[in-house]
Amino acid sequence: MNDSPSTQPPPPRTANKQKIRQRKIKATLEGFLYLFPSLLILTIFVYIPIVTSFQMSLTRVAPFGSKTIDVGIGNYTRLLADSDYLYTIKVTLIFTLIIVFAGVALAVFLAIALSYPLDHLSWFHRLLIFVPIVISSAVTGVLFRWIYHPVIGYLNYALLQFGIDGPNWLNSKEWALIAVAMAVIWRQLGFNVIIALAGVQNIDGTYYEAAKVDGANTWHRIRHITLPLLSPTLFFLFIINFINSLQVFGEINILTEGGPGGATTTMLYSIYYDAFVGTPFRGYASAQAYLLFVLILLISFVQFKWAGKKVHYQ
Amino acid sequence: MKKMFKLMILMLILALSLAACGGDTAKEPVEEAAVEEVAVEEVEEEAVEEVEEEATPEEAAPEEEAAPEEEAAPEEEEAMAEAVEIAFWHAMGGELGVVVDELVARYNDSQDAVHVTATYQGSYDDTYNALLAAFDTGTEPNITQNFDLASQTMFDTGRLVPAYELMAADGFDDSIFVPAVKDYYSDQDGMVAMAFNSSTPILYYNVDMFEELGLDAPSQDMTFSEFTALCDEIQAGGTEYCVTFGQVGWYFEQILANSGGLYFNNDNGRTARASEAVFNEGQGVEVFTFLSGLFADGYAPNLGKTWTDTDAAFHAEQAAMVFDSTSGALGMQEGGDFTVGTTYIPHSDSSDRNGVVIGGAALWLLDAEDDVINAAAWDFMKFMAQPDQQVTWHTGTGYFPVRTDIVDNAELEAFWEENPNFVTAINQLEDTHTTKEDGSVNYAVLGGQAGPFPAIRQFIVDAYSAVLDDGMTPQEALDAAAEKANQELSDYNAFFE
Amino acid sequence: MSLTIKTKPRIKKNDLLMHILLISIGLFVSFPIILAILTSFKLPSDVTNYPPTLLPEVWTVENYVTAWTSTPFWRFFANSIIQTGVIVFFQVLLSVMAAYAFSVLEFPGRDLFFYLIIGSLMVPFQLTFIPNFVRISQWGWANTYMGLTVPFLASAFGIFLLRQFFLTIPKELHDSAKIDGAGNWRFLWQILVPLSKGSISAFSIFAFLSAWSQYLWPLIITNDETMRTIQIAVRFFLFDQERGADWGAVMASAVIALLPTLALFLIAQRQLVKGIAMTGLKG
Repeated sequence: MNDSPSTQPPPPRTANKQKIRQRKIKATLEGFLYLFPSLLILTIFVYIPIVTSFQMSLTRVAPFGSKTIDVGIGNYTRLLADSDYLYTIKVTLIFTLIIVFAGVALAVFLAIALSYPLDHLSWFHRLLIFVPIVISSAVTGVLFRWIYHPVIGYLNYALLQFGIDGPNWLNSKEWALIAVAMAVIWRQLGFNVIIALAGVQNIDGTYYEAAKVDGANTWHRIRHITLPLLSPTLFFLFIINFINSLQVFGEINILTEGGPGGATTTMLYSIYYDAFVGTPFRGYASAQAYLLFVLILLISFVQFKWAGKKVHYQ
Repeated sequence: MKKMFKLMILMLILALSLAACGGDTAKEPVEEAAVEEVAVEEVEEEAVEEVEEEATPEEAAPEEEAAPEEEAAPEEEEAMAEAVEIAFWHAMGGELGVVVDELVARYNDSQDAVHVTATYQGSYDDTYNALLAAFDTGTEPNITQNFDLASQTMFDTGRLVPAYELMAADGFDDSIFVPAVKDYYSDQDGMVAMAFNSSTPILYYNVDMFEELGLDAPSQDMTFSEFTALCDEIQAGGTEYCVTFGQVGWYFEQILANSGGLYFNNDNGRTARASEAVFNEGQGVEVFTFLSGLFADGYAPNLGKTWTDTDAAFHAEQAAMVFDSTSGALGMQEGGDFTVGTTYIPHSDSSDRNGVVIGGAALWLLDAEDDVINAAAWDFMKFMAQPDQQVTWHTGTGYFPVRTDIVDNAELEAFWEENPNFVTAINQLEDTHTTKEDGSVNYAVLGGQAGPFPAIRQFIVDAYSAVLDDGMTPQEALDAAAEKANQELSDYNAFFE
Repeated sequence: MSLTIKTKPRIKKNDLLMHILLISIGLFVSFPIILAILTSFKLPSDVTNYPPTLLPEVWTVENYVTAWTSTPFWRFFANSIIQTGVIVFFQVLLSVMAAYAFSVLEFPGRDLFFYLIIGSLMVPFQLTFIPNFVRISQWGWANTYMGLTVPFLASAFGIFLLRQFFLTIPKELHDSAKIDGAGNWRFLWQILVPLSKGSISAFSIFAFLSAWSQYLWPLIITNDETMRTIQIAVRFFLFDQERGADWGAVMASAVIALLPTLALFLIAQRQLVKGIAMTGLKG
């Protein structure tokens, strides 16, 4: 349009605008191309299933897939009236609380211990403590099943040396959930300690110097400097552990298969069980999945709200 | 623009590989697979080699279908076509799996027309679950080993080729099978599955320990009170536990049958589809009171739902006796440093000994909708039931031979001479009263049959925990289990109304 | 890298105590792994001895022979390697690209997409695995490497992580590259990626660990023995119906299953720890 640039002053605004627009389109297109593969995968395998799952939750399918019955919200109403399912929710809550609080507390303790400045061997200490991070949930299940073995288990044998008659770890309702949670805490320990340690190390040394000058002892320093300044890290750990604890499958599957009497059947395990074990009812399982999804969203929302106020960012 | 181009190519590859999935499901799988392979090839060469390897056997089957000219005359095929591929799933792990592999190899070597690939699917439950999932994925095998409980479901899939059809076509005489085995896997038309590995639970005991304690060998006809009396004597002698067994549904089912009790209504689901569980009445309560009482009263260690930990307790001489399957006889004998004896399982005080339900599993032929393939699968099933294979199978595992006409086999006789424990199971099954005194069918020992039986069995497992952890009475625990079972039954039956 | 304050000349005794404390905790934590390794070298008949012993009386590889020969174990191992390799490769590639778009590129709707992708982190696996199982099955991808890998080729976490790192790269770098005539694609691969080696390798290790450890998905999507991954194989050793679990072989198979990740950890401990710490700090 503007072929005489030198003599006449061009109407710069429109030309620029157009150029900008063109550039914008190009940039958008290019940006989108970079995103496209990830978006595609996530859409197909994360977002679409949100819808499919809901559709499935409204049906009842014969165990071998040949027949489907529409039940409307029947699966949901039955779920909420199902005392077994309410028990499952309770189990899940306890399980999550144990893993989140015991797991994070232990990790913070170990992180503080590991942050003690040593000249030698600190890589070795870390190695020993971090190492569970490379262990899968299936292998964790196997290792702990061996340790918890009711007849020849090392744990009860060790307790016996201290005169304690160890409990029946995996076969009593009282202990099974704790036993599984301990295995999970163990597997996640490496991860938690690494993050907690990074958090501890990130704290500005001058705070401690100042505290030292004020004559604060170790405990005071931990209580009044380390922990408050660690709160963003702690918050992160809480969230991650919360989400992970709802995803625990391998340990439950290998240690207890959800038993005894449903004592270790968490919401995820119940979904798996109803969808793939015994006489599978995928619709019922999908309804459970949906309830869990809503629950996770709600809790995460509350956590973030709460954290917005409480977490101490440096 | 070059970088944009590169990016777009990459995108295209990805889009292609995913576009294949976007298509509807009715598309031919082979075509899809081809597109995917091409797509991936450009990206990940290494992986593709593997994918192709994988794809070949899957594609082989349809190709076979495409050329069905040669009738089911295996001999002629030899030079002409490749062997018919048969997929065979089984639940035999460890040493049992080794024997299965040996038999399969023996079959593959014996002829060229059919090639069988055996796949171990884990426990019976795993195999059953995998099969149900496979109907969704279209990856079901030609032959599957499936346990007793799955019978009703197997019928209901509508994918079964009943064994009697093939037997009739082939002139196969099913009277060679042990009657209890034959009856268990029969409907009104004849045998629906091919008997393969049959087992029953027996009571193993530590002979050395019994001798030390000065106790007689346990009788073959023990009532519950005789059993607990024996337990008191054993534990008085200093052994920690009298007996050990896993809290699986099986022992309840078997001891219930032995006491003449029914599991389901409609004659255990044999004369009509089971619609209600009846194990919470009469004998069932007596049996479960006994079994859960063994744990509650300290006669048995609570090892939970396990098939395996009980062996360890028995071998470590923490328990003097153990309920287990006959199929474990070999491992049971070898595991400990003592002599192992065997006897029948007990029955309730208020009943006479009825006998046991055949356990273990059978081979089921799934319709490949192709006569050549079905015939090939049938050929393999027949092979597995032949005397030679049955002898190998029995002596290698402890599952008993399913045919009656091999008892004179010299190899077997010599084996039994050395391993009397293997005979106990056979006798226990032979001593089973398949008819009542009035001549009517004894449905108790035929075992229950219901679609959701695998799920219902789990409720019995939970009932143990309800008694031991929650302090319910056996009656309450069974009532709760029955209530859930009835729900499962009505859910399941709703599909067939 | 000593983090807390450097105090005065340290008292040796405290150090020693700390060493003892940390080593005992460390041994306690790693005990299950050590035990598995030791048990796997026992004679099969000694494995279930009571009272239990720690060290094998006789060292033997018999259990490994059992594990390796009674099942197509090499195949399980190869499957795991392929599955893990494909997932890691694509997760890194796609994450780098998307992270680049979210950090350096500027275009309308960028934030929307970013939230869309990060939002997928909120959708739990619990919700998606049944529909995905059905979908993958319908595509005929059960028992294939496609079925094992494709649903995991993108990682919202990786995108987030790498974006955080890319954001720390000074903008001037991109500007000057632009002036030099380098387009985005070249800038990304020739300048940004080499600069981000640390983060990318950290994420790769992370992706490797989670892919290698997958359990639920391979359990449901494979039923053909030849397509099983090593994690599933371990389970099959344990749940051997009607036969006692062969604990020696179980332990041997568990050790084989944990060996690659353990080796990776020993070799790349630094990057691993750094990578994980990085994610934590920015969380």
